[in-house]
Amino acid sequence: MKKNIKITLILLIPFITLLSCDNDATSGILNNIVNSTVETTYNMRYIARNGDDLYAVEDDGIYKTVNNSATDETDERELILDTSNYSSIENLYFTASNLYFVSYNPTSEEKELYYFDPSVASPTPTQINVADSIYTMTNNGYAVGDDDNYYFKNISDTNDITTGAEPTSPLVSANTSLSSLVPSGDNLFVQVVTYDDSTDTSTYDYYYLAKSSGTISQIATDQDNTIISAVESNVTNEYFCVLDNADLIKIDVTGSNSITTYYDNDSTSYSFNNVTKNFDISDNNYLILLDSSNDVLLYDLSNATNDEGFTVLEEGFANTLSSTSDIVYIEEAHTDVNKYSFYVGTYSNGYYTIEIEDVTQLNNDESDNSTSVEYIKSYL
Amino acid sequence: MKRKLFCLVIVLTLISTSVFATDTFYKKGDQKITFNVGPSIPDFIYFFNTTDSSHTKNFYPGLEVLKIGGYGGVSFDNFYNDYESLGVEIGYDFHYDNGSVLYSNVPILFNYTYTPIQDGEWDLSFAAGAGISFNSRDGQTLASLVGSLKMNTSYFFNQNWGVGASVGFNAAPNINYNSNLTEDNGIIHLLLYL
Repeated sequence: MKKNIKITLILLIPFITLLSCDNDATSGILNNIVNSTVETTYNMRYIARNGDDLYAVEDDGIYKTVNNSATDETDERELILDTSNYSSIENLYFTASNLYFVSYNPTSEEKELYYFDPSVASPTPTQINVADSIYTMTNNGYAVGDDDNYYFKNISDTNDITTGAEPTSPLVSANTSLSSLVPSGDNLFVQVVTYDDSTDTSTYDYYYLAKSSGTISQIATDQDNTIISAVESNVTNEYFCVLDNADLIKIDVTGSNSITTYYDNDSTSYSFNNVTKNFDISDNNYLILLDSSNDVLLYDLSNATNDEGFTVLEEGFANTLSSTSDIVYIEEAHTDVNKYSFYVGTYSNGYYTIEIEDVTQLNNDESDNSTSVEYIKSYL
Repeated sequence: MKRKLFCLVIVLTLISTSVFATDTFYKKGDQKITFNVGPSIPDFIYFFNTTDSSHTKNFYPGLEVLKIGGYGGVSFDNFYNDYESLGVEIGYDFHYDNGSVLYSNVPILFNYTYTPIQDGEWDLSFAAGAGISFNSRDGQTLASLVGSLKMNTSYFFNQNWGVGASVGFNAAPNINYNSNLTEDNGIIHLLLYL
């Protein structure tokens, strides 16, 4: 009997050895168990930044990061405003020393604009305006209107409201309606949609609303797609825009109002859903784009209109996040010698820093790209 | 000290054997099938080294990294004399870790069982087992050795059916032969209440 047991164990050992060798993982099961962390969903819908302080609108309030050390992964944040008395917060913006947010009042069916100082303990938001529709906020101002009209309201440092750009006549008619307002820097792209019943199709007219001059100018008519994201170019009066068909275009809002297609989504597999930053590194001009799978892409404008112009800044960033997460915020963080960093806020996975460790290594070959992702703050 | 304890166990075993030897319930050739279900409590995970930065210490209390789970199994024993039996057991043990990822292992054990108390109504048995355990978590799998010790007491309604309770543990040393994973080598120890 003992002999049988010995033989059994001796036969088991090579069997186990073979099975154990068939493991191509990069970390072991026990390691992964002890390093697993509690995942919490925070549903950060809107994010605003004041220096290194990041604010987020979540389901039950507005939270602020407590410690923004680039290496601090502790779960520390601070509730600065309980929003249970506000039915729906639709925006968040920091300017001067105040946080601004828009809340929808279901009783009056109007939107209300509030502000408060987040550095004050237990702040009481002050309501500064009510309107049928408050569309979006830009730097120290917001757009307000309805289907017939819309205009800027400027907010002074003392939170006095002044009317900014206002169209001299409604841009919409019986056959059209306001489609959307896309903020870009201090200005807005205004889109009017025309729906054709006979063909069941919509076309779009692009307008540009300049806050500083208070002028509205038409850029293009009968466009097939709507602008979903826009960013100011390094060149004055030029904007890069992502369309709802995932194309990338450049619009010159002066003179000829020309539209240049930089990237036709039909040609390769990239599919954009956001353009967020235009900047220079080592005398080269780049755009930060997000594609539909949530990868962060770097587009080299020196290779403009060339499909090879993409450098994947962070390949598979979506895989770093959970499948349901979404990037809701991305902004330049800081630059250093040969380094470039971005704040990234995600819907459910907290904040990240994307850092290009060595910009001199940037090129079109993904394998040579030197990038890394590290938390600046994690809600995980 | 260990020697004295060993002698004490032997003496107690011989006494209990002599007390019940005159009227044993089991006979050579008897067979027993047991179904086990109960909670499984992670006791600890011990790494054999800490050279890898992915774990900063050797010892992790089980409940710090895994939640209480469950164990279910079925075993078959065949008595080769009135007190001792050999058998095989297959089970399923599961736990969720802090990230709510399922960790499971399927042990296949070859058991030696000694039943010193057996009067037809009450059994008291001690079992030691060794075998192979298939560990899996989040798509990763690893086969490892597993060792088991269990103590069981059972009450029999009649000659064929009874219920009982067991306490014991499974200890599975996870040995990776892949050189990239040797820092993961350790042991996972689970307490079983069945």
